[in-house]
Amino acid sequence: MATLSEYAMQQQAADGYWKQWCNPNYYTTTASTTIEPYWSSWCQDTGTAANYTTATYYYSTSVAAENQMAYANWCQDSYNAQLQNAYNQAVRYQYYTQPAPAPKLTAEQKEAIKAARKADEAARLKAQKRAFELRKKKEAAEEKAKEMLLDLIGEDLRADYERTGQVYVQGQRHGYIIKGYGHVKRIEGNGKIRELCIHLQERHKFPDTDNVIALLMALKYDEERFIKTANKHGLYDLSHYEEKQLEAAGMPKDGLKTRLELRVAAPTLGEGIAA
Amino acid sequence: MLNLTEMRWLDETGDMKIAFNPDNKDEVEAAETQFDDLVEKGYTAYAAEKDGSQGKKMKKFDPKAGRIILVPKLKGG
Repeated sequence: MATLSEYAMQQQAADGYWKQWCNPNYYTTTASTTIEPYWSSWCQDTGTAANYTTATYYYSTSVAAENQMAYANWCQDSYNAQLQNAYNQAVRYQYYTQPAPAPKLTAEQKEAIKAARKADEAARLKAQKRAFELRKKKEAAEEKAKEMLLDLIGEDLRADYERTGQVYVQGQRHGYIIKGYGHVKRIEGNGKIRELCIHLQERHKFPDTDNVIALLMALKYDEERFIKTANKHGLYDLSHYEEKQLEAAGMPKDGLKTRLELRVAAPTLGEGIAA
Repeated sequence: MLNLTEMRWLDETGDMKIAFNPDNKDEVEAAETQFDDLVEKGYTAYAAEKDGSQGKKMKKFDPKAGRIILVPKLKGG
């Protein structure tokens, strides 16, 4: 099959001749030898029977009537430019819409193409295998991280985490819900929830649960710094839906009410974001 | 029964874990080297009881901490 660049070059060259043919001052007697290859290509001619100097001797089983007429016009010295243009348009349309003829390949070229395809396939399989191994590694890392989380929070909370993708943690000041990817909800009191955003600096290198472990440790044992580091986002009312989510994350059913009551009774924390 | 100290740190494979005898000088030195390397990389260390009941942030290596957990640096999102 002809390459795209060859085909494009052929079209460019033909365009040059096309402009020449459409010029009323064009005379085929001086240009017929140079246009023959293009004409042959357009007409799908085998090139054995045609005499390209006049239309009378031109033969091709596949050539359209319009092609013959256009060729006849091109090959005569005194032609009707208007008529020629009409036929030329038809020929040109046909030329540009037909597929490029497939070139005959040598045995060497066929071998080269076969080798290139084989190399492409090998590269594709290698990439596929690598992606598969990478995915297995990530899955193994996530499993390992979950085992560590189990050591830290115990069976019940771990089961909640498996089910909901979030875990409840009680810090020194507040209760928190940690979700993967660095989303944390802090129970403020007065039925309010503060959204916080904090995560591992290079979290994409680590399994998701490592992110949860890092937040969990910081909340349990270094809450002050956690609060300073986290970006504070929305503060909103704790809806019934949220309450269900908190329960699902492992907080005892009566825990929310108790914690909110305690929070209301507690002094303002002075960090400027408490409700 | 020998009371080993466990040291774990988060990494791309999930986590790494070593256990060492806090009374064995060589093992303690090796663990401390690892600890210092991680802290230098920005890890924060926590000492936590094995049952999770008590814990605190560590400022320096303590071979008798029971369980040491190191986590990489956090940032606000």
